[in-house]
Amino acid sequence: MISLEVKNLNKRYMFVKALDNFSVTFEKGKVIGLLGPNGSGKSTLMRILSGLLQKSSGDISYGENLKGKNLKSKVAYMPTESHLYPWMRVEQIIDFYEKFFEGFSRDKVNKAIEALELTPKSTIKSLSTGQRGRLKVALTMARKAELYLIDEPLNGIDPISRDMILDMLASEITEDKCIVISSHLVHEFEKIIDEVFFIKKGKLELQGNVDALRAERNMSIHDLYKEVYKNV
Amino acid sequence: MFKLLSFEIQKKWKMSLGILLAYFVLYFGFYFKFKSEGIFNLEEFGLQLLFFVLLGSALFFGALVGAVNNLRLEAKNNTRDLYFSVPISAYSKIGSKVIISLTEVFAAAAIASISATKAIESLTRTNLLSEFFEDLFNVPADVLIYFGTTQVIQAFLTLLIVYLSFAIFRSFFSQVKLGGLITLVIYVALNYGLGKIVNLFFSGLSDIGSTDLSAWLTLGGFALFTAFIFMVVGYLFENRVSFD
Repeated sequence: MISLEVKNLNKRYMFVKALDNFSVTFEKGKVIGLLGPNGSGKSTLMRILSGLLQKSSGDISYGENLKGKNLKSKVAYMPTESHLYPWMRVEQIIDFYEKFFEGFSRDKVNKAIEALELTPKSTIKSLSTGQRGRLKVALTMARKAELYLIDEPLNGIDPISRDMILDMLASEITEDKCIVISSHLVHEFEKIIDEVFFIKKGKLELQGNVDALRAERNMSIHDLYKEVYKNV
Repeated sequence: MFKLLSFEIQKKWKMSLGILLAYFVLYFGFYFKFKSEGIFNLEEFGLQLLFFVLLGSALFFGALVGAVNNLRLEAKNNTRDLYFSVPISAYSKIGSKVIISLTEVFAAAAIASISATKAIESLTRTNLLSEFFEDLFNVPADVLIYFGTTQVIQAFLTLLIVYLSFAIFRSFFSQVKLGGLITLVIYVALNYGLGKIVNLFFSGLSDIGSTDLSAWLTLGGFALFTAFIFMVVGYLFENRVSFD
């Protein structure tokens, strides 16, 4: 059932330790919330797990030995910034995903495009931040992968687009995949996440089942977030 | 690989066509201007010839810059998170970029040299190009093939050394500021070191124009060395490069 196991992961930049003996296990069939303020190490963790950044030390096990293109076919990563080619039209970026990512569901993304009221002929650079954010999520979730790493999907997104993105993510939860969402906008995500991991200065500060934590602490995850990071 | 090549073409064709159109607009614009104005003195005539040499050089160097930027910008812009997440080996990604970039450089070199020579021919009322081709047809085929192959491999190696500088920078110094300067230092050091090795290959040849067995073996060794550099670039992008 395990999707990913990380043990004693370290990432050191020149003068900063971005991840400090970080250990975590993500299970399939769950939506994981990776919470923490800017600079806590969420994006670094996601980039290492997606193979775009090299770790300094530590072990990462995906249940099997995944490297290179095998890793990239099973891990779908969506960065915070727009990673879509700005010169492409919406229909061209869909073609790109279909051509390069095996098992990509064109039907799924077409439905999303329709719901998002995006025109296939529009270029990526002409889309608003909200439209681009929705398109990014739709494309990433239309990929066939086992681990989805969604980095700050609501950053700079308007409230209507936020709801659309949350609905899109909630509708994708199945037993054969694990969705990890990083954010510092806890309130919006609280209703769709099963487990939560609080990261503070590259270390795991607190983790647990969302319902259990709420009952145990007698507060919402949003309030718990404020409690954990009040001195940061 | 075919998918990557078609993507590279899709990415570049509009820009390349635009540059080519601008080149020919300038080329024909000035050609007809010079033709209609005639020649008043020798100095002005020299400037007219120089214009076509510089215009052709600009097209060629533009293609060279495009070849370098093809990987540099792919590794620098936000779109790198998409490109380098594609589950295709880094060897194929680097290979497709080298093939497309060099095709563009060779095409630019051919267009620039032929068009500039044609303009100079017309202005000077000479037959430079036909004389050149006549001379070329008199060269034995094996010498032509040997020379052509050497040039192609040399072009591959030149671009791969640039790409190797990017790979080394992103593998070991990606967190350091002044990335451009560091990459340049790496490139100069690599160019010097690898240049020495390439010279060792060809220093054993007694006659530069010869195409005997030892010359072909030398060329084979040079090709293998270039393939080795390609493998190192591919390995670094596959296993070591960090996109901070």
